Amino acid sequence: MDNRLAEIRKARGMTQEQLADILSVSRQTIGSIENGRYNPSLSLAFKIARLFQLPIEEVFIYEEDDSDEK
Amino acid sequence: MKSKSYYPSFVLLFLLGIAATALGFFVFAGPEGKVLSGVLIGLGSGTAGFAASKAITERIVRNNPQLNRTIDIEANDERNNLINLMAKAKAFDFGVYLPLPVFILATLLGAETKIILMFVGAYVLSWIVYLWNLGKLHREM
Repeated sequence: MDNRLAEIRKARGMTQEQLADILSVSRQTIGSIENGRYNPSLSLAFKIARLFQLPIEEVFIYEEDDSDEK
Repeated sequence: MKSKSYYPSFVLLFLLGIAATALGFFVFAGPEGKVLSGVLIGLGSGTAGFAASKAITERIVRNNPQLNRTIDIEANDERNNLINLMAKAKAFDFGVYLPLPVFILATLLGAETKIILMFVGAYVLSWIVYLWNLGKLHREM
């Protein structure tokens, strides 16, 4: 799953540490989400979207892959 | 909200651990009490070490709310928890095959049947715990 977290965070002038602190997660978690190495839980994804006052699909972009086409 | 302090309990546990170690060293020191002495020293020093580390950590964290929050975040972080669970799952997968050659080797080396059966029992028990949790989680989730 792709996401625009880094772009949105930088646009709001926030560091990874500040975002992690607000969301009560580790800075590594934010870094991993931004790099696409880790997909957050639904609740964390909603928390992130609500924090930036955006619909969840504007932060996280779901792309179907071959395994979904069944 | 102030969290509950376990400091006195850890201090008590530390003292009990020291007492058990001392008993092992001095009271059951003879050849007749060798096994009991070993058990007391092992359990006592382990308990004392665990309790001391917990007591010291609580003392440091109590005066440093920021450090407390960092520790709390690291412990409850969803990615950390997932990594921990995945690492444990991989260790279990490894543990499925590891004992099998050990059982065969022990048999070939002429180990006592009751000793081998004890280890086989522990191995089977780990599978029972796994299957029980599998069923429980399937019902709950």
